[in-house]
Amino acid sequence: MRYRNRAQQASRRDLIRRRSTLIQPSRRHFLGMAAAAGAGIPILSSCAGGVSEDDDDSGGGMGQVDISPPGKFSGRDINIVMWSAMGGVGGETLDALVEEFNESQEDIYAEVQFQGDYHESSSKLTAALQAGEIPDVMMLADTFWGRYLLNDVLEPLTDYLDDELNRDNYIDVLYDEGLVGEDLYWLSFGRSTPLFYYNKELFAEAGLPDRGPETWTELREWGAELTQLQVQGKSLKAHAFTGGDDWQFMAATWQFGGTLSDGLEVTIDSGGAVDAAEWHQRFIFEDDMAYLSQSPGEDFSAGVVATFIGSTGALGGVYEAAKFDVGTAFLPREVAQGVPTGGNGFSILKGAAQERKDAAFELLKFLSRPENSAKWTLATGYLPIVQGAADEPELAKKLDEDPNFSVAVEQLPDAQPSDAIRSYLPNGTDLIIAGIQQIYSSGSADVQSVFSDVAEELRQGAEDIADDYERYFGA
Amino acid sequence: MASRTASAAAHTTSGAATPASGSASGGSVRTDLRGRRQRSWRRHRKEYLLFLLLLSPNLVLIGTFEYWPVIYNAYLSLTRWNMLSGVPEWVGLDNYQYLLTSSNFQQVMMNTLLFTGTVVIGSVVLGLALAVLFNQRIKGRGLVRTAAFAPHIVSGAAVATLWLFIFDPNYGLSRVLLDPFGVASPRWVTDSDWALVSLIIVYLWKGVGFIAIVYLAGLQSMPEDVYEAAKIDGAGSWTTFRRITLPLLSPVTFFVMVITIIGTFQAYDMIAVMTGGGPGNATTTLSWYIYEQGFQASNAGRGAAGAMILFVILLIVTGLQTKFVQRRVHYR
Repeated sequence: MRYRNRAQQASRRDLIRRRSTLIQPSRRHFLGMAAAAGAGIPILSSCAGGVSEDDDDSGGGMGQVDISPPGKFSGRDINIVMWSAMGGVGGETLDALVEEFNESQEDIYAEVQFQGDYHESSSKLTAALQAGEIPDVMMLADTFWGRYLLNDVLEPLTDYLDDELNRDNYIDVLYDEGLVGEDLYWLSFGRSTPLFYYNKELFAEAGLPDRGPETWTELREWGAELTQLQVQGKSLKAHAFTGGDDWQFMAATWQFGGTLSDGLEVTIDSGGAVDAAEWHQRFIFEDDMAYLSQSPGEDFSAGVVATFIGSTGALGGVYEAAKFDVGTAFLPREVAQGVPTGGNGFSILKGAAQERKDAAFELLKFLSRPENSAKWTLATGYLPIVQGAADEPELAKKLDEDPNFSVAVEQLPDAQPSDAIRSYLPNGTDLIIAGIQQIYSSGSADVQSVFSDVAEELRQGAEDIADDYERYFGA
Repeated sequence: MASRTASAAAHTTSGAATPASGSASGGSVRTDLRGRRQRSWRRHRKEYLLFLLLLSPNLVLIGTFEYWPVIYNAYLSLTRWNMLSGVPEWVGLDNYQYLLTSSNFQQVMMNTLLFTGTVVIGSVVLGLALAVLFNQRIKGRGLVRTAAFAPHIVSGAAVATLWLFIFDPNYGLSRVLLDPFGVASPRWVTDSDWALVSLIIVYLWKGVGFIAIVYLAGLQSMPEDVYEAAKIDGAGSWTTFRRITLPLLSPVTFFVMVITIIGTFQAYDMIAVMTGGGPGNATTTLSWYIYEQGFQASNAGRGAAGAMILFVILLIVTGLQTKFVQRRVHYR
């Protein structure tokens, strides 16, 4: 805009000023808009205040979270609360089993309260412990219970064991994972091992045998054949890696002869861990046979990748989604065998009153009966946890009919417990996962330096929990 | 026009009335004034107490749920605490020292800067462009406006899930769109180089409609006569836009900048669903880092220190913007 003279320019500016007040938001208007837009400051809000003493309690000194027995169960001697981290089919099955428990006797009422996934329910337990109002029995994932152990909030279960429930009638590998020295703190429940899944049709098309590869090296040889195939106009990938978990990678570390840690001594920056990661990175970027997938199970079911490693628990979902014959096999070896276990178990909280703890153990005993373990396995695909479950007629039939279902059971005796850094350091898995993701997502990431950084953070964390760890495990 | 002048005049009169009592000068008058003030205080004490009484529920609520957490958070940032053990252990400035020297945290700050910068500038530019477009007399304008605004009211988790499908390199829309050009779809969220880009795209997509509507409101309250004057003066459309529209829109720009900057610094929902800060820490922004430290690593102290840094950054940003707005934005 060209102004003819200064006066005109000034008057124009004046005009603009006056008009602009019309569209200028007033302070109140502005604040209103800001509030409406939800502007605020995020702060870690935390519950202040310590543990409150509950006078009514004869035992642990902590109160109980709210519980509301329905009419037909009201007035029982004792009410207990179980917090669960399992939604979906697993949640429904657990609810049904606990309902059966309530019907089976007349003294105890147990209520399952779903608290979100493992992360969320763990946060809620932390808050509950601070507030001093807790559930009596808590479902904790294998990588979560360690932190509660080290902070002395879990009840040793050894003294509760009896003829009905003890190591002899449990699957010993699974029982032992909850052992700390001589004492049991965590009772395996929804447990699984990873399986090697393969697409039988694609294997046949590529002229490969109908079995899983013996070793990673064999998978790579097969990869050369598989990647010749075309799916939807693209070359087929041989294998999909997950970036969401470090479970599979821990197995690979063992298979390449290493460990993530020995006790709390971090070993991820040397030996088998580095070898495994370098091998995987080459498999992805140089060989161009594998990739980091958002959800390997979905990709596999859609037929765009020939193999992946996933939980036994994924079997049902894969069956439902896949339009081809699904095969499962033991995990590949390389220089050694490596089979981890995963999933959840139950712990009883030390802070609950004694009678509540006794009642909670009765519930665990009920869930561990062979017929109930079999129901649980049939519905969810998790492993049978007690001896005798696999002999229950329905489950026996299923194991017999579907070889895929029994692979996990057969593989289980070879399983070994998780490396300690992963179980006891609260963000152990998160740090390891971040490292793996970096390597799987970039061909230029230097494995040694990525894992050196991860190891440094893990060591700092290990230092923080070392004293507590030593109290339970010795130096 | 007439009514506007009248209200302006009324405003001036009432404004002038208030300070009239303060025009006194000289010693005796001052004493007199003090006495009058005391009398006035006595007279108004009741009113003042009532005022406090009425205010107190809000003060208590804001104090409890806004200020106390901030203060407690500041205290936590000087401690080491896993939220399980009894009491936080005082460690002074250790957490800050760790954050400011950690290369990981530098990466987090770079991500935050890149993410916030791109999303803020992107939403303002695109939002304005859309608003100008929506302001044209085109067919089906209402429908288009609604469509553009819709993402803003859809929950972040749903938007993120939707975009995960779009970004899927195997069967997503991204592949369908890129295949005809012979370009392979990037592995958007699982490739370190693309993950942040995909988050930026999604946050832009979700936010730009809202910005556009705010701008549109601004555009529609523009005075016609200024444009007429410009037209008479022979101003082209670009000049009109640059010399009139943009300056007149500056309060709106200020508003959208403030809320986008604050909103983007706090972005969490879609990061959680789409990348979880990964791969590696490629999409770990400050707010995600705070969550990660506080609730995944159970390191309340370090998380709180991160939150304090975010708090200070937002304070500075808001301060700068307020200052900037006083000098540049208000045409008063």
